[in-house]
This record gives sequence, C-alpha cells and structure tokens, in this order.
Amino acid sequence: MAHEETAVDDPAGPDLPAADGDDAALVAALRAGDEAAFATLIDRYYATMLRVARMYVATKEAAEDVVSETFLGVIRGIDRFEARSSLKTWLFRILVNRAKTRGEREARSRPFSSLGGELEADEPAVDPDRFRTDGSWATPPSRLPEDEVLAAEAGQQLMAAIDALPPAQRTVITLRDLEGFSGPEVSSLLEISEANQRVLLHRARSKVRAALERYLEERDA
Amino acid sequence: MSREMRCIELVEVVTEWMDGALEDEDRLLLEAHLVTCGSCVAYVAQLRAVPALLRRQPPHRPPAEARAALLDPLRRAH
Repeated sequence: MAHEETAVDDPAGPDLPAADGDDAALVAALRAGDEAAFATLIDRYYATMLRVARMYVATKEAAEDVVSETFLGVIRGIDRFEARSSLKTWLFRILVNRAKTRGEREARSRPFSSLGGELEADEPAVDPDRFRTDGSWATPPSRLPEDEVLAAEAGQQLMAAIDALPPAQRTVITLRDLEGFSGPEVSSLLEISEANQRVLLHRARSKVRAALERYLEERDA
Repeated sequence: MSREMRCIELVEVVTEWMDGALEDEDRLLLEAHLVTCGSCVAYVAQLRAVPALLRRQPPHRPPAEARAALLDPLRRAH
C-alpha cells in the first residue's frame, strides 16, 4: 500500500515514516483515505500535539479533545491542503487554532498570558555560584561522554525535565528540539516575536542541559 | 582586542549564537573565547547534546484505545 512508499529514514523514530520527509506520498495516501498513512501521522505526532495543546487548555482531557478535533480537521481538510507549508506545519497550525478556540471557550485560556512571567523572570542559565567573581568557571561542566548508551538513558531524563518546565518554555523546546521546527516557524505558529521565542528556548534548553549534567554526574558517581 | 567575553556572559548568549542571531561583534568575542576556554567548550557540547538527544527520542504512540478512536472517523468517511 501507499504506506510502504512513505517509509523514509527518520532519526526521530526508527520505525515510523517521517511525515516531513516525504510529504507528497503521505498526502496522497491521506487523500486516498489510507488508514496506515493516517495511523502514521497519529503515531508520529500524537504526544507532541498533546503537549502543545496543554499550553492553551486547562486539562489533559481537553487537550485530548483538541487533538481529536485536529485529526478530524485533517480528514476533512486534506483535500484543501496546498503544500504551501509542510504537512507538519499545517497539522500544528490546525492544532494551535483549535486549542486557542477551546481555551477561549473555557475562558481560562492561558496562552502566553503566563508568558510575561516566563519572560521577565530573572533566570540565569547557570547557577551564578558556579562562577568566580571574575566571571570564569569555578565549577566547570564536565566533558560529554561519547557513548551510545547515553542517548536512550539520558533521553528519558531530558523528557522528564521538559515536562517540569513552565508551559511556554515547554512548548517552545518541544517544537524546536523534539519536532525540529525552525525559530521563525515557531514564532509564527505561536504568534510571538522571534526574540521572545528564543528567550523561551534559551531558558528551556539551559534547564534541560542542567538536567543532563545532573544525570551525567549521578551516572559517574 | 578591546574586551573579552567572560564565561558567565557566554552562557547567556549561547542560544542566540547557535541560532545565528548574535551580532557580529559578540559573535567574534564568543568564538574567540571558545578557542581558549575548554570549560565553555564543554558547556556548549552539553547544550548541543540537548536537541541532538531529543531528536533521537522515539515518539510516544497513543494508547491503543485513543488510537482506535482517532482512526474511527476515517473508517466511517471512507
């Protein structure tokens, strides 16, 4: 079936075809109502979509509804998809629109109402105690080991660190570093400036790096 | 050179640098600092490992029940 043709190498998921790697084949399969193609889209993006939706709505259940509505929107709208953006961008644009609408209906929408706090808070990337008074490292980071075991084990620690982030930081790092969206794409999708997008990414990555460092220290202890 | 970038300053502008958004003057200061500071090189390596490791995470598929519910409208539409 068309599903086989969509299978391309994707570093993010060894046994899942990449929706962004070969849009044309996947879109054709989706238009034909190919269930395997649709399942591919679900398996590839479901978790990320839930995480992004959670930024706009109050509960996990509401986020699940938003994701369902988004996939319904894909089924209904795939014939009108014009490939001016990637399928992935189109998918997340539908998601963000639905999540915003739902959040506004709930009248408890927090989309970036909490953003001010996340941007203004004075958060150094690294604990200032780790520097000497001249600004050089007193407690420098250790060199990164080059082993394959690191990937799987540390990955879980990093995901836990992401889940502990404030909502806007969590959303931005998810889109940038998990899904591979560019900075301009994320700022357009979330309707925030590129500079703000980068501040959020900087804070998120700094914290997730600290989690990686803690993991390495514990592992080597 | 007029001044040097300190480690404590580098860690605050490194994301801009990685995004190619740092002004030329700061970019040159940062890159000059990295030539002589192994600790900051290690810091940048750790920071770069974050997206690299995250991109290698396999996606979490939805639970079977949720997946079936998402596929249901497609089955009915075709």
